Amino acid sequence: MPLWLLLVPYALFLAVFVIFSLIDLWHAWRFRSGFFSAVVLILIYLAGSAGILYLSFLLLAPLEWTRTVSFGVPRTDFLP
Amino acid sequence: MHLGHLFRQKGYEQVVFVLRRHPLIIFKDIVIFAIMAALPAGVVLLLQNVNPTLMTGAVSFPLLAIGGSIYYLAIWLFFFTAALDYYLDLWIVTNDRILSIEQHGLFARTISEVDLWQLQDVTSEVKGVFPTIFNFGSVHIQTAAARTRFEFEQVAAPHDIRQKIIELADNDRAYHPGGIEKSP
Repeated sequence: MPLWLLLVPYALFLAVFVIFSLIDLWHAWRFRSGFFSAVVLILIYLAGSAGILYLSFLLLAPLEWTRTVSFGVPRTDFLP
Repeated sequence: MHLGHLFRQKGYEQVVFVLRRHPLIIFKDIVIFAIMAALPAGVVLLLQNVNPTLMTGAVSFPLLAIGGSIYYLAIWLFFFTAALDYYLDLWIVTNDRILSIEQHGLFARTISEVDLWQLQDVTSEVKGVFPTIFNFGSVHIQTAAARTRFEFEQVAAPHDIRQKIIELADNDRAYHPGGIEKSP
């Protein structure tokens, strides 16, 4: 199977993550008790999320996603 | 602090307290987040010792990278939700009433208010080692209404707050002569 299939559950997770993040951000802005505090909170969250996504991109981007791999085949290359 | 969009302030009304949980509560969440963020580093070190090829495998490396990304995004989201819960929980005490604004997770928000002259019983409680050391705890407010029992959770200096609320309620009763008598 192609390696890129691993990205399907990841993409689903990212979609859920974005939806929940938007709900949280909306709450933070809609019910804020101060303009500055809300902006700081939102910026910290966005910066953290962007940092994690950027690191993930750095790790995942160089991989050859179109190649075919097999799961469940026992490895024998380390046997004597 | 701009509170105009949270409640409509009456002309004669003055905000006396704006209360949040004690900062130690969010500090506890930060510590838990830091521990959870450090955990995968230990797992990676362990994996490198047990099976060094796991970190370079054709399938295992993408799996670990995707798993790590999901893990960190998930704990970041949970931490932000916890921080938001702390930030959005607010108790406002004015010279006329008490407002309780509480966020429960992502999809539940409760806003309630009670007039000060309706208060019958105010109890403050500091329970536990850390609350005693850092002087934070709960303030329970019982009103004449059958249902209403307000609770300020994990606020700083609860005994001082109780005392101030009792004084404010006594002052407010002067403007409501037909109101409820304070219980003995």
